Amino acid sequence: MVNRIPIALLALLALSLFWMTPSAAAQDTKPLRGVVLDELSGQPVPMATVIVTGTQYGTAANLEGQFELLLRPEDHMLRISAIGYASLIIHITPDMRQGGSLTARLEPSVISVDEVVVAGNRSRVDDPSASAHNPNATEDLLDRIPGADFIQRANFAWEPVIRGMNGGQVGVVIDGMKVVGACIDRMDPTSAYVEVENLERLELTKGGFDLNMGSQIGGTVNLMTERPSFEEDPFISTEVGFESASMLRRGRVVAGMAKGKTSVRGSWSYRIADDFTAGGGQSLTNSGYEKNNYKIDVTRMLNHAHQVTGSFLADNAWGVGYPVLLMDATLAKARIGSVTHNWERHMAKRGLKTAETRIYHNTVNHWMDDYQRDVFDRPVMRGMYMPMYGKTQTSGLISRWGFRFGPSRMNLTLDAYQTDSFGDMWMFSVFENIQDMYLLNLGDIRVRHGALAADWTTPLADNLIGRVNVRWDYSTRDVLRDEAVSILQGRWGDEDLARTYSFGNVSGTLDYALNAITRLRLSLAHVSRLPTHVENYGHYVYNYVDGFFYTGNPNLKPERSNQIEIGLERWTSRYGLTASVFGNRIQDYIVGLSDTGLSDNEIYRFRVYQNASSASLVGFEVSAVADIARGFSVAGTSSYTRGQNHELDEPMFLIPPLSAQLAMRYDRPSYWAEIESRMAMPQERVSRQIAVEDVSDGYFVINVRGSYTLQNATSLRFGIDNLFDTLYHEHLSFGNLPNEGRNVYLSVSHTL
Amino acid sequence: MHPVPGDNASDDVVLIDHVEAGTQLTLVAEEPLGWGFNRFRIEASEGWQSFTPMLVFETQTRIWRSPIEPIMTDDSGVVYAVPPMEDDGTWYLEIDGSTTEGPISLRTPVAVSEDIWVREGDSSDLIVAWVAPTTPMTGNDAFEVAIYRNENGAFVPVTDASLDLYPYMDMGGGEGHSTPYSAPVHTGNGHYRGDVNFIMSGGWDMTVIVTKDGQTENIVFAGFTVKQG
Repeated sequence: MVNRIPIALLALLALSLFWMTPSAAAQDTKPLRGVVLDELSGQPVPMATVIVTGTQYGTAANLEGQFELLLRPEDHMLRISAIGYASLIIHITPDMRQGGSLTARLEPSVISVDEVVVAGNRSRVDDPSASAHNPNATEDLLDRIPGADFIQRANFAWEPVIRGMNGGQVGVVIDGMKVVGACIDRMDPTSAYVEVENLERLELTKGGFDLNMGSQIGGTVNLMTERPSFEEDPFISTEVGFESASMLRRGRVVAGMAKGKTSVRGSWSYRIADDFTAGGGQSLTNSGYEKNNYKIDVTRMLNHAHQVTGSFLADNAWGVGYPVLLMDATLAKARIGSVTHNWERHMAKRGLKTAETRIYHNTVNHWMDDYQRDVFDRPVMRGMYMPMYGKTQTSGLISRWGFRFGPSRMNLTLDAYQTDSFGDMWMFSVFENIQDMYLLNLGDIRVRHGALAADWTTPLADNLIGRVNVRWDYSTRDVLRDEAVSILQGRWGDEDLARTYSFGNVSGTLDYALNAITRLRLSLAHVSRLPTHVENYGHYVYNYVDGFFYTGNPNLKPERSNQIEIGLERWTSRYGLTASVFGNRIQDYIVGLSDTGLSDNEIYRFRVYQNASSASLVGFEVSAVADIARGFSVAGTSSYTRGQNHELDEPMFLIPPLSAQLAMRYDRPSYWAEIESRMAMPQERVSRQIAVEDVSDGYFVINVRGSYTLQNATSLRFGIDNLFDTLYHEHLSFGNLPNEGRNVYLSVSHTL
Repeated sequence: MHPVPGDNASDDVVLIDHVEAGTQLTLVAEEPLGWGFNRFRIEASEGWQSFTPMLVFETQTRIWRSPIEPIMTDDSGVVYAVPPMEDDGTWYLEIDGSTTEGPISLRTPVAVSEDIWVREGDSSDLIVAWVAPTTPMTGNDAFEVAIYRNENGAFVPVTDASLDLYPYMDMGGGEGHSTPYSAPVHTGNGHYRGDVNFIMSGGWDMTVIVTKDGQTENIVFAGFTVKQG
């Protein structure tokens, strides 16, 4: 069934809300007066954007960095951004509402960072790459960032792909913390264990230019969680939502309060989805899921400079169906705890200014089985049930120190952690003469990792900023379980399976201000990424994409990459434009190559991870937004990546095609509406040797959506995705898993 | 139940416990005797000067003397024997030896059950006996067989064969796979040794491909269990 609620009714509701008279934009008559300054130079930042988070309501600073903004009762946070600077989030205080003043100091951000800010349960929509979707899950926040794609294995837990890089080439961290998925088949990317209401913002860096979060060649997604606030009044925010394509129902509650020197914030959410319906009414069995998440944070302010925060996040997903795979996830759970000490020397001009040290521990458990499947009706592993289990446990410390030296700044990062991993699979045949079988996929792999990073930014001339980021990594890893030791010793003929990696990375950027509104950026990087624990020590890990069993290789070298990126950013009061072209040459590219001799049939096929000679990627991303009339704006993004595996002289595997999004939006203080088109060209450059990858058709879909705020505290969001019920799938979808068909959604949120 | 060599390793079977003239000789099998290599532990008191155990199979028409290999694998004295494979007869354990009092012969009937651990060729007179691993485990196992020719009831070690292997796990439904191995090579006295890295536990078949004098014979040890290492 395509639409299980009357579409006409929702459309009528949406239209009626459109023509309702908006509420008064503001009750106060005294505007907030502010000035935006460069943190390093103290000079005004012209044309900075000042936006109330969660809305399009805001203003722009003038050429002297000054602005005025009339704040409304429902406004809680401001986001101040400008090209070449890291965005600044400011909690609105009662004084600011009463015509107060604000001096905002922006830190130059020499590298390009895509950022999506989440305010409570809302996502920011003020630049072309910010999601306008009603955020159901963390991945929804990334859905409009060019160069960011997803490997889709189900209607749940999509794995981020950045510029065609995935898996161990991309880092996903939570507040900088390492959290390792427990499923050996990567069904539980780290982003699956964080919900929208947990987040303050999501930062995505592309390529290997930012080394502070890890040594990655693809990029990093940093999920930055919300912390208790001392500025806000006590609040409770609730939201309920519904989506028709999967009959998804969800609810969220976020609450917070501060008393004296202690502040508390907590959140809880629950969602349940049935089997979803793809375009054309095609229902996909085994595609539902159920999930809950809760998080609590307590911050104690020790004095004006020190505060300590304890955080605990628990996330559980169960009954997760994988319609194009052999089995389903019965339970995926994560427990993530941390204690963070923050110190800040206010008003400091030189020397150490900030310090943040976090110790953390997390465990992730993941169970899959096929007990609900017809095990006779499948091409491989016929006639057997295969429950799988995986577990990881990570403890670590991450400490960041921020220094100021006049107009220069330096950040030092110490990043250390230990991860223990285990994974196995039972096979219970339905044939009486076949014994139970047991496969140890990961036999207690221990990875110990330490890294030091330094990030130095300094003005080189009046219009030129330079940045150098270096990082040194030291990693040891070994196999602790005797059975796995014996298996791998037999495979590799090596008594000692322990390995040590030590290497350095460096990236540099020159940021040149062509004029007050245009900047050019040149970035270079020589970076490496370590093999994952599965690539080193995995034992016959079944890959559902290509149907091969993969064996790890302790002798893998790090994957090395030389990268270049040239970027352009231009922002005026009427339009903004960002564009970048990049090139990435990978040496010692880690791929699975044939491991012959174990099977002479096409059912069981084996591969072993090897360092191939080289691969290369080139591509571009472009984003633009323009105000075309009062309240009307147009935003668009496009990206393209071309990957070539030189070892096998074929296209790289899992490279997204040329894609684009274009949205037109009408925005008023209390409501907005948007029509968005999303399109992708066919992908005909596919891998035939690394994987038997299908050519993908292109697609074009239309989405419409809107939001309306009632009485300053209640907000409705509604929309129809895939308006014309097109049957399509993304190129990176496993088994050509189709996307949802026409999806009518509605959510209501209320804040007390 | 699926056969597991050495699975009853803790179930000692006392075959002979002889006390005479102040001397004692005890012969213990580490598991009930079966077709294939059997491990004995012999404990002799002072006064025994020599002893040789022998498995003898007697039918109404002939006597088979199982080869006894004086392979002393450790201080406790473990010997192996390959019984011939016939059903209609009686098994005896004989010990010829001498003490300070003079020569002595002991003989006692024993039970030897049919098992999979020794196989005859279909088209030749080769006999292949599984020697090791006594308990196959996941991971890397030293794999060893002994090959004999049956020459009128005598077992003659074959020292000039070339061997290959094909370990195979039947996963049901007509599907299955192999596992990494190295071809066994002759190490002496008809024994051949290689490596097999059983990648997972469960039921396996092992085909020993023996080539001798230009003829190839496939000897299959079917349905043995590999346990978790």
